[in-house]
Amino acid sequence: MTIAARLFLGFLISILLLIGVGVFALNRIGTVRDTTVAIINHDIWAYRAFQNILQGQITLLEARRAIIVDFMQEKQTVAPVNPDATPPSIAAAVTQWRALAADFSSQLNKTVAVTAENEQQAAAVGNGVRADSWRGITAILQQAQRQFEQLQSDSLTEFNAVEQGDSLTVMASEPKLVDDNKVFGKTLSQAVDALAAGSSAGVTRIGELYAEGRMLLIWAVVVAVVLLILIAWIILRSIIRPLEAFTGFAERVGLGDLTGDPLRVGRDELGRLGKTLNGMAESLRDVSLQSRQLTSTLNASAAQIRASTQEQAASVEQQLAALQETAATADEITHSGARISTRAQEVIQVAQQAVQTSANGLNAVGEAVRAMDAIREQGEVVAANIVALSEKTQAIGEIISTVNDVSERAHLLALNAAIEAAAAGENGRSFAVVASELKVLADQAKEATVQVRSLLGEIQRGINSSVMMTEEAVKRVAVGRERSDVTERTIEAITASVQESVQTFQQIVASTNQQQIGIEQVMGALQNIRQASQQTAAGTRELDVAASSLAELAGQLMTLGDRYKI
Amino acid sequence: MNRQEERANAILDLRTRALAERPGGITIETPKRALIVVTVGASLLGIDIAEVVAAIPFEGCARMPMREPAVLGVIGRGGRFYSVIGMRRMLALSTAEDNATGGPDHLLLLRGGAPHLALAVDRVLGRFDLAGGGGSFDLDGRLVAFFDPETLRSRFGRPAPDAHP
Repeated sequence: MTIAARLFLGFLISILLLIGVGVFALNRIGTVRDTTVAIINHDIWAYRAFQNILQGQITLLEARRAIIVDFMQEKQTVAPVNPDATPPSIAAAVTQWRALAADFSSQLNKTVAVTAENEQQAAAVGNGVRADSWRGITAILQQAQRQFEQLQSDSLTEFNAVEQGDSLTVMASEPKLVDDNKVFGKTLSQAVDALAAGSSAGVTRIGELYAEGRMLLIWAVVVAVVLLILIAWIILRSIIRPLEAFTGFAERVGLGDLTGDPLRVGRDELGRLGKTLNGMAESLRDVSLQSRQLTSTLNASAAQIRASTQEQAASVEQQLAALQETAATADEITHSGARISTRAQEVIQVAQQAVQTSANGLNAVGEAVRAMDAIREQGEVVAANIVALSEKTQAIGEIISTVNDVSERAHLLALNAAIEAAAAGENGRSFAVVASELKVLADQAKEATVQVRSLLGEIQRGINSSVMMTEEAVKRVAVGRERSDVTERTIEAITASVQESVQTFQQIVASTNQQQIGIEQVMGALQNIRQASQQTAAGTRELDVAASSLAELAGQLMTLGDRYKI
Repeated sequence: MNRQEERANAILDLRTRALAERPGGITIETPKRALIVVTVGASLLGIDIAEVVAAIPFEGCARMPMREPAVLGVIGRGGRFYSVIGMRRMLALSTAEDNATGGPDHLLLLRGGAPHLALAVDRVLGRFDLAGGGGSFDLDGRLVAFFDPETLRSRFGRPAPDAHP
């Protein structure tokens, strides 16, 4: 919807609201007016009717009083009853009273009907107070009707007595009629008071209607104002919010920020404006992007050029330093070569002395090896002798076992001989002595074998210990022999190495002399390279200055391009 | 001092005493009894020499399925079967002591009829004339218990005939 359509719609709604409020106010004013007119008309009519009723009631009362007064004047005496004594004028007055009574009754009935109708109308319009008032008035009038009917009936009865000339009856009924007339008058007065109260209630009702209408009108005005404010706020919001977005977008573009979301587009005025601004931002973004890319490329190229020139300058400086170091190193090499030559001559002499010393060491090791071989051979002989001795001790042990067995057998033989001698009795006594001696000898032999076996055990343990020690000595001699062999081979290797070193040092001396000549040529070449490097360094410094200017220019362009955030 | 040395000393003492008790010297007439003294474990047993036929080395025996645990087996000697009675088992010595001192070394062949009995003892020390009574004798301060073979015969066979073979 366009802005013009929104504004037109807002104005239209405002006018309709004003018309509605005006119509409502007129309606409420009409209601108050109608209510006032109705109350005034009803009350005025009721006052007139009540005035007529009161007037009629007085007329009837006066007429009845005149009839009774005339009758009593004409009668003069109480008895007897004489209808002929009633004059015709009284009869005419009675007839006239009856007509007045009929009119009065008609007036009273009409008034009751009107008040009942007013009650229904008040109830219909919702005026409860007025309806109650009219209902009360109607009830009072209906009570007055009943009282009037009774009064009319009693009056007619009295009038009949009057026509009959019955003065006693008239006198008897007169006090009651007087009282009834007073009651009827009071009832009518109550009706008039009720009407006055109803009029006051009507005035109050009019005031209430006016206050109610005023309050409703105020509320209608308030609601209309609120609705108008709401409509105005909606319209302003639908216009101002896009305008704020456009303002923010323009501010961001002005600050160089092109990264925001695109604006809303549409067929209305703001949509077309958003489309135009989006196109403008897109164009600026493309231009900025291309500018940034070109500037970045330029900056990178400048940086590469500068880096290359700096690397080249550093390389040239390193080259010059290397040339310096190379020249110094070559000079040191020259001096070192001379010292190497001198040292090499000294080393050659020392090495030749070492070769001679190694030969002496080899001779000493050879003698040690031969001595160890002799020790080993003697140890082996000793071990063989000990083994032979051990075998002989074992043979002695076997012999001892045999002797022990023999002594055991002799022991048993002597015992059996003793048993046989005992069996022989006295004849065997001498034999028993011999057997006993034999047994003693056998036991002694056995004890001797035990001692010999003990000694042999000790000898055997000593032999075993000697065998182990001899074997250990032979093993150690073998180890010493192996180590001597290793020492011999080592000394031979050292001797060979020293001889090779002598030859090497002799070659070193010759090479050092040739090296001195070559280093002098190198020194001349280094001088030429140094001059060329100094010229290259000067050109590199000029190139570095130009690259630095280019990089600075690219940096400024980057700063300008960075103002736009893409 | 081991067991053999103790036995050797005992033999020497016995020899000295025997020489001292030879006729011609100072003798005290005391009733003595000729016994074959044997060792069974740590005990010394004395058997009447008249009950013994011979003493031989114990070289094993043929094991037989017998009900008595004390009977080790049988051997043949001089055309007879001898039931070998293990004195250690007979005296109810412990098996641990049996393992510590080794098995029996000697057999004593007893006189008497069937069954012929042979006592397996640790060692037969010899013939000794010992004084004493009441079933015990003194051998150089050591107590020698008298062992009657009749207890074996009443247990393992018929009573021996009066006449010796």
